[in-house]
Amino acid sequence: MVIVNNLVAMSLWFTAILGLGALSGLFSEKGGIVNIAINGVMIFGALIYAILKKYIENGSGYMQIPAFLIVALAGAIFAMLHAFASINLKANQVISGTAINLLSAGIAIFVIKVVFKMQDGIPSQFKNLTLGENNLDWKFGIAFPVIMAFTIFVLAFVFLHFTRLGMRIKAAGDNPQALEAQGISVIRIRYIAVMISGSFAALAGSVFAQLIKFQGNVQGLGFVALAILIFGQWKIPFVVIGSIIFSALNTFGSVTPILSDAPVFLQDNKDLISAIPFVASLVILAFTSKNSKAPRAAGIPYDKSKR
Amino acid sequence: MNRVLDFSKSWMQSNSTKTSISKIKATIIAISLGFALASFTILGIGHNPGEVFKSIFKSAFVNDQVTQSTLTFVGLLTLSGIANAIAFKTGLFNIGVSGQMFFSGVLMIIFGYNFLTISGPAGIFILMIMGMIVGGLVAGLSGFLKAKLNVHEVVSTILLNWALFFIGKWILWKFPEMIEYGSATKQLDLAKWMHTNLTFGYLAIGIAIVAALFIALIFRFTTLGYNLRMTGLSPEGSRAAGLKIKRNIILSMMLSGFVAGILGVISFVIKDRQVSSEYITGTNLPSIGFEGIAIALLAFNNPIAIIPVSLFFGIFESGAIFGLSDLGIDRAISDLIIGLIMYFAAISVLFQRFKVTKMLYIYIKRFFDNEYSSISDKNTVKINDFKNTQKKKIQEESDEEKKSILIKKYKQELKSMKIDKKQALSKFTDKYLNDYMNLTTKYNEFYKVEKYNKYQSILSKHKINIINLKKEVKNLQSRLSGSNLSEKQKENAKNKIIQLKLEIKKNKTERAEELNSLAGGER
Repeated sequence: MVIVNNLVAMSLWFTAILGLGALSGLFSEKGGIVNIAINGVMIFGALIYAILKKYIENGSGYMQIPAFLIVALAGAIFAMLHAFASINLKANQVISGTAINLLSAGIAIFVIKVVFKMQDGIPSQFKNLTLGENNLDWKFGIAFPVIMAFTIFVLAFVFLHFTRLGMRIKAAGDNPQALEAQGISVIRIRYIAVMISGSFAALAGSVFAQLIKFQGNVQGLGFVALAILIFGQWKIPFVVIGSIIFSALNTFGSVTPILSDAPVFLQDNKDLISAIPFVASLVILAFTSKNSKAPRAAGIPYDKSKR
Repeated sequence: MNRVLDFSKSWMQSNSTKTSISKIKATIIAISLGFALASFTILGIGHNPGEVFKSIFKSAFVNDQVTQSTLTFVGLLTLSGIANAIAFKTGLFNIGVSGQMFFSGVLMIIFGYNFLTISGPAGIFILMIMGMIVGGLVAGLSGFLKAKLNVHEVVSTILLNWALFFIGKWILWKFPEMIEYGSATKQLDLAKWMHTNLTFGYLAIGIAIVAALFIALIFRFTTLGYNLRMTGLSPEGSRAAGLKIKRNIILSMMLSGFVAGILGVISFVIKDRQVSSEYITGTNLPSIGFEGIAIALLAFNNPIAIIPVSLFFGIFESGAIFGLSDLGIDRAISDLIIGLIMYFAAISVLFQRFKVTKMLYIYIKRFFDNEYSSISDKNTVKINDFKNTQKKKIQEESDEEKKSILIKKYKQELKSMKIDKKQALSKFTDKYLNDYMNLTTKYNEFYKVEKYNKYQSILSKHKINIINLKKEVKNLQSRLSGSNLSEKQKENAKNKIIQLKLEIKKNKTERAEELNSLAGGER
């Protein structure tokens, strides 16, 4: 029973992380910018969260709330690096994303090891705001960051489909010329999309840092989020369902084998089980990508003179 | 000597040289900006950047052992750069070099330890071929998924990276007798002799150079290379031209994977001779595969240019291991520097548009122009005075409403003053720009005039020759038509005419050749 309880609790947390990560990719690609820097921005968000924990923590769990807000802001600013390279300079968006992944990993390790001189990671957890005591109780999954994430999923859906700015973001990724013809600056809309994407990714990273001690990486979850985005066909409800499935798989692979009362088979083959989410993503992608419906202008730098 | 000078002049003027110079410029700017930012961070943590870099580059060749490992680093980075560049040239992005090299290296360590009975160079050769095939198959899988099932190669290679990382470790744990103290595998004796007589560095760098030449030749001179390049340059166009795009995608990924496989064997079987503890206990892929992306970008995907770029990075990374620990700094700083350089490499398009000489010219002119500095100084003094007096006024004002009005006025006037300053100075900038343009046009004109003169001299030289020859031919022909000649004389004359005509032809081809060489590589 302990395993099931743990699976439920941790899956909820990982759904929050992966769902926010995938939404980050979704907003950016809906706005026409391919973003494989999710992992990098997540690392950056987690780093900022860990630094905030060092300086503003006062023993109360409620300090999480301002910390999350600051992280979201910092993520939006950090994502402007990607926006600048891919919107203004029309650089290759995939390469710029990879560069940001490497850069933020470099910054994180530098800050942890050189600035703070901590070899095995910064303690990054505020006091938890949850109903459960520890992760062996399923109520541990009912936590402030998880509730925040699910609220964001709903709000993002409403924002993207029922507000003017949301519609404009969708247009910037599907038919930017039509948007420009309306007298709206595509470049500005794309900047907004990438900044929203950055703040979501940074939030995902900070939820990760709240769950696990930050050691300079987010276990490659940003890349899994990218796979979920494609699996979810760029639709928010599918993306959320996808992140629930993947987080269950991921928990089963990375957390369950470490538990002391896990079956011997799981403990012996824990590396193979760790590979399951990645192999499963690949298999699912192989079957679903044939007629994938990416935003039409995603990855294409906007050029006013083209029609 | 003259010809050499002429050649170098025409070489300097040709378009292809200009673009490659702008690329080299962009590379150098990207690297130096990365280092400049890194210097500031080093300053920030309280060290002297000059000292740090000196120590790093010094310790790359401290003794023979370190020299060998530096050379190995250079070789590994070159191979990684090539693996990435192959995919880039075909318009693909293989982020999976790390996973491919890890899987190939781990499998070959296991195979070499448990099943291989041949020792010495032959054994290494066999492992290398097998590792190459493993890497090629794994990368080929990504290519297949892209070509046939429309899975983006970036996503599939990233997912395969992690999948292979864990599967490789899982296979390794199936041979528990190989793992010592639960952290690293036992050493494979196969490449021991290369470590005892210190030759493994030469092997690594040798293989890397051969691979670079081989790939450069493939892309330059073979149909396969041409097809791959075309697919990268314009997929739509090459589809219209009847190239098999899907096949090319798979082939390119496989070629990239072959190189990654060799990279894995050299890194694991020859350099480390084991799977080290950082992989068995940690969760990080070998970083060399990712650094190859930066190297390929900085070298603009040219296999030969990858060698000097990785020489630089190899010396830097290898030196960082000892050079930084001597100063008591963590190695993490080299990761940061590489991350910075990588970002600047990604936006290197920006630096290609940089006009360094133009900027320098304007700044130097500004610096030495008294008029400019006096006007600029006058304006700044005026603005500062205005600021001080107005601030005092605002502070002394007690009525809130009046205060807000004053602040509004102050802001407006400040803005207009700043604009005035800009306008006053912009005249100077325009003047300098004009001067600069005049200079460059003069320079170009000079070359144009010289070129034109030469062109005329070549034409006139050959013209005289050809006219003389033609005159002789006419003379002979008129004598032939006179018909008061014997048969023998007639035949002689006919032969002579043929000879002369040949000479004319020769002259004409010579002229064409000379004109061609004058035009240089410009077409």
